[in-house]
Amino acid sequence: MELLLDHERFSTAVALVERTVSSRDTIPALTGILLEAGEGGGSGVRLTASDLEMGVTTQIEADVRAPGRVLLPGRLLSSIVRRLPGGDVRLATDGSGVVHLTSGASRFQLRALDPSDFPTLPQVEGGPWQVDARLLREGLERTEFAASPEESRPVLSGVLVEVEGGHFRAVATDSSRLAFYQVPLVPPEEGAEVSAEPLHVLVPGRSLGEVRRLLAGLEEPVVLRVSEHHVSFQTSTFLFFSRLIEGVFPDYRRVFPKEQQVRLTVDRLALLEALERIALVSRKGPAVVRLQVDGELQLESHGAEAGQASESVPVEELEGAGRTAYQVRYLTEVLRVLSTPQVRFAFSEGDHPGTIEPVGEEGYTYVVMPVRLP
Amino acid sequence: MGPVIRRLDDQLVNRIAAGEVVERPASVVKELVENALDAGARRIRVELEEGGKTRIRVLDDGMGVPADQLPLVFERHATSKIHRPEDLDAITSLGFRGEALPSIGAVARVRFRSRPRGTAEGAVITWEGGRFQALAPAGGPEGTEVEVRDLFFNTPARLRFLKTTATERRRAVAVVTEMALAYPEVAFELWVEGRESLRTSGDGDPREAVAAVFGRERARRLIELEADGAGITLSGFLGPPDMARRDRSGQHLFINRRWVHSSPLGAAVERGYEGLLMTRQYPVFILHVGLDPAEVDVNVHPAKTEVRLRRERELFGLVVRAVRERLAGANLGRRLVRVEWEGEAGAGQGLDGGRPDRASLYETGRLFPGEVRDVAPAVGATEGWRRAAPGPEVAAAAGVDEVALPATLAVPEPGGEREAGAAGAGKELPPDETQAFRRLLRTCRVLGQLGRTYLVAEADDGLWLIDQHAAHERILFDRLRRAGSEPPVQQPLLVPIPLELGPERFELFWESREELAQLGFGLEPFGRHSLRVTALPVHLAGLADGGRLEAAVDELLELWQREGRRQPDRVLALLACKAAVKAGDALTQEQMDRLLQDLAATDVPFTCPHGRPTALSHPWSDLERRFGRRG
Repeated sequence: MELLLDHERFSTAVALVERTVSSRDTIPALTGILLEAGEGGGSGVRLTASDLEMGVTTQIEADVRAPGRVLLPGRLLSSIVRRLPGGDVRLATDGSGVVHLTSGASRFQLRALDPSDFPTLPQVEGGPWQVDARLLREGLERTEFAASPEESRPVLSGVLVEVEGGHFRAVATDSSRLAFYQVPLVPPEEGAEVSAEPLHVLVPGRSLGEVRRLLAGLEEPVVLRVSEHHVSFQTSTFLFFSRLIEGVFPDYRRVFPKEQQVRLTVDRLALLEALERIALVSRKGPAVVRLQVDGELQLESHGAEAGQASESVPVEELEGAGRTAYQVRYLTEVLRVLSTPQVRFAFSEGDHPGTIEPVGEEGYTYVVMPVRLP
Repeated sequence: MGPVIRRLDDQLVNRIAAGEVVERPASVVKELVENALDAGARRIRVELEEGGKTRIRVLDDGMGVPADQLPLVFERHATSKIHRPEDLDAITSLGFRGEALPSIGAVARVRFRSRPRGTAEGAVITWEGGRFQALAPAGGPEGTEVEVRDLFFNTPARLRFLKTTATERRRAVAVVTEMALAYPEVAFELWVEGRESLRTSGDGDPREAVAAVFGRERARRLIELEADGAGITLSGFLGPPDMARRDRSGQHLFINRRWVHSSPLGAAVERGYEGLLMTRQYPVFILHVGLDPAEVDVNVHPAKTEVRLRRERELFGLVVRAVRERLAGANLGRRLVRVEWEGEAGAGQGLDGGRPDRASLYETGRLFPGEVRDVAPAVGATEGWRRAAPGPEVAAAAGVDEVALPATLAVPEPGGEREAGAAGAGKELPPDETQAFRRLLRTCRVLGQLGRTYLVAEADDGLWLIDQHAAHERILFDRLRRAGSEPPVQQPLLVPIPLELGPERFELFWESREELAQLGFGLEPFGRHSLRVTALPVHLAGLADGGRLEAAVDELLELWQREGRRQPDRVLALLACKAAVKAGDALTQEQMDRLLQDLAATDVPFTCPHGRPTALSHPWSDLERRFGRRG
């Protein structure tokens, strides 16, 4: 194989795939980045990295002088390419398992890994569906945090991604709170092939974190495809795929409360900061805040050792009165991912879920169960 | 002609009785050493040849037997130890039936030489296969020397039943070992096949005797136990959890200095280790229980290795409590330092061919001198999960830490009991290693996460590694244990978790709903034999996903089916394990810092409830030595 690459393009492509290079070397091939230059020549080179859970592949233009396939140590390649001063990069094999990388006055001879050990990428062909990159990213950002954090817990550690009835939805829950995001789909461009079937997939939170990163700054439709065990996200610059979580996601439609005793509008940052302050005394075990609404919103927190704290937060459009209590984390986390100046907060006393919605944005609801204090 | 019934002659009676008393060389050794001890010996030497099969020789410097009484030695039920029936109720000597020597004499060639203290000359009597051979004057040192040759030479059937020489030798050695541990004021010498195998100083210091048996380094690591109260005294040594073995071979229990093979009190010691050991691990301990002889019935088993106790339940509770309290105050943190394996016979050899096993790689942490002993007992109950709130005097004595004393283990006068334990023989109080460990956890700085499994932390004394799962397990376990006195915050679920149990399992589970509710679970029946979990204790929110709750319930039911509900702590440990963070879970800096603070607040921060260590240390001194900075 012999290639001539533009340094900037190559560097961007390497950075794109590098994050899915496996950090554990139990399967050495997974620590590599696969470079493939087609037999036909001319069209360019494809870079791929995968840790089996997820993977990214991207295609860049290159002058292919001799086609071929090499697997180079991912982290090393990335470090080298990042530090090259610019100009062209030449990659060539010499048939002895050594790859010569030269750029300007720099010469590297890199020991390649065996490309035949690299896993074949899954065929993901169901669909396709289209979701605007910005909305997809926003949806993931505002739901992913509500999933169970630990990777060892399958179903609830993922985000439910749905395309159905002209809407894109993302839903995540850890069973005590749930984040729901829904936006209308941007109509696909003329001639774009789009499936009319509904899409329901449960995607691991970790994979979606990578998707969010890859989507940063993009303003274009993202093509989603599924197969039995995988989902893929394709843009003009990359194809990302992830394993799916198997299992049944809880029926989220049933958790939205219809009536609430108490409703109020509050400044998002004022509430967030007040919560963070009073939680400081509650250091033992999960911090809990008691809320009392009676003409104003009064927050109170107790620490078994440290003492207690309380604070009142100005509210608007107040209806009803009552008291409740939540794990502080369950409130602060959602207030952080929202961006509107104000939020609408509503609850009922007893074991009924409270809700938080951004004021001025449609389609987002956060549902959270209160705690039962002894 | 039919069979004729005849009275057996003495010789035959002895041979039959020998079957009960003399089973193998070890039983001969035991009888002879006991006789020596009963004779007031200060030095005892035991010699074995071919594991005692061909020759056993026991010498002592005891009071000896006058020549005119020597012929009685081999007569059945001739003894100097008891005279009247009442004596049986308060036996203070080891032997008493007068069966031992006649039984041995019936099945071996015995030479019995004795010279009473202060006499110029002694005598020797020989006896073979139950027959008198000779009696003659003899010299030799003061005391008694008994030589038993060719055991079972005249009873081929019994001879055939002996095990290999190695096995018989091991058993005989074990007997001498137990005796040496029981009688630190007697100097024991054991010679096996011409080689000295054990020698104790006989200076009366129990630690010396233990050191002779276990090796000095291991003896140093044993945790001394002294306690008394309610007519019982406990003294001895507890092995740290990492010394535990896969069998009970490291357990030495003595009741009134009599080695007892199996007793509920041994089980009580094990119960005291609950939460510190992994399953199928058995603690090492040497425990002397002192009781009014009237409370002990030793006449249960011919070999007297089983005894019957009055007030057994009460004693059980006392032992559990004493062991638990002592362990809670001991520094059980472990160091990474590799310790040379000491050649204690057969113990702890790894399965992989003599390499030291895992336990041997750790050494207990440094002692923290000069600390005031923390009296907070590890909390636990033997029955029921509900436990009484601590009485005022207990709470006061326990200081700032909130503790709930299980009602079943509460001693009428906790203060008095502690004082008695503390004053024990004017010894120094054990330093409060737990407090020091807690302070260390609170002040150390988390540097990062290693392999998503361990926290790496820097403390004043060097490097620490903390197992995130073990630490979190311990934290959750302690919080669950406190649920009785400190009701838990409940987190109701948005999406209740259904549990399909089937009729039988449903009943079993439903019976425990109150206990589970007290821990913070919300349960409601759902259909005929299914449940819905509507709320979880806030600490156990981790059970909500990934089938963890189902897995926990399966294991709970299995536990209850197998062992009933007697072990509430096992239930808590199981729940804590299932809900805790796992190896592989990424933690944020904040979570890691919190984990250490929370661990510091637990009762026993050194181990997870299954006994794995939570933390290992690598002190500066070791780092310096291993990097060659210091010699």
